[in-house]
Amino acid sequence: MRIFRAIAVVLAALVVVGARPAAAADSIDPDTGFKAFRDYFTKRFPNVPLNDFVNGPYSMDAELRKQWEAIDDFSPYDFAIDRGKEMFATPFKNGKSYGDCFPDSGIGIRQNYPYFDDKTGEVITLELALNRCREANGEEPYSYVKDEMASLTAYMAFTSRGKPFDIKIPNDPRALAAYEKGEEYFYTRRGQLNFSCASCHVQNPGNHIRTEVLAPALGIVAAMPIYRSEWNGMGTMSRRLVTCNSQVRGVPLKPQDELYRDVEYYLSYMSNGLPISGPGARP
Amino acid sequence: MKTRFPDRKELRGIVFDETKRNPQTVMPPFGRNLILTDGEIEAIVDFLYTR
Repeated sequence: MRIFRAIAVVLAALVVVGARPAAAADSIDPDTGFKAFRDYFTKRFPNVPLNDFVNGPYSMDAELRKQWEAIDDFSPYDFAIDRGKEMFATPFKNGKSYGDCFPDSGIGIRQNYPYFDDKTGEVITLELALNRCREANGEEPYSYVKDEMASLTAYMAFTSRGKPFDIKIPNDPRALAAYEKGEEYFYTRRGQLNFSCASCHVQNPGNHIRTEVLAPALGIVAAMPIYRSEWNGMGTMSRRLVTCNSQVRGVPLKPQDELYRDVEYYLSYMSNGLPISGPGARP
Repeated sequence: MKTRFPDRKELRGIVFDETKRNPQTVMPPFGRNLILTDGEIEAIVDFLYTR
């Protein structure tokens, strides 16, 4: 079977030519990068309304969209929202709760993550903030990839639906370096199959990879966490990154590795202004 | 396919490592990265010439 799959890839590759949004100048300039990235997607997909990019493959493929709209009446992520809401309302053993760790008690704030923490000089994602909250209150951290973490982030995304991403990159060399490292990781090829994140999500959104329709990188973070039929369950941003790396036969980093957080920072900044749509459902 | 690639070596080279010819390609370098054996690559080239 392997050889036939290889033939399909060869035939597809004979007609595919890629492109990358114009690279930034020698100094790190997130604003220029943002404009080039945004222009690339809006010019390539002039018929996709800007806010629809957050719907990933459904923004690219009318047939897939119909199927999604049909199942969305019984959203497969509803249980995760309910569970997350319950977890959010349940106090830790010390009497405090998640709400005490976040601005606005954690409601309607997902669009502000990840952010750059100027005290520690690192990128803080929502998942990392949740586990640090647990540890600060004497609780064991959760696995980053699914289950409880997916439920908590599903609920937090749900309370933020429709709010535009508002990611800030302060004029701090450490924040700019995080942005640049995230961008570099995103465009670097890796694994035996030699794919970068961008090979699929910048060069080929809307095209098929085997039976899947590839999602555009623009807005891809807005739907996290997602229920994936392929996973038969929920997965976080961490799960998405680890799985992507494995699928190209590369060695994944640890969930919430500094570099993964930098990638999320870069991608979220690129999605500034687009509405939170999570939790999402994907084939 | 025979008109596009009269030289079998060229077509084989594409399957082996297309990044040499087109650095932007997303086709995996099947030979360079040992994804397929030499025999499998030859079989794919045979197949492509039937198209």
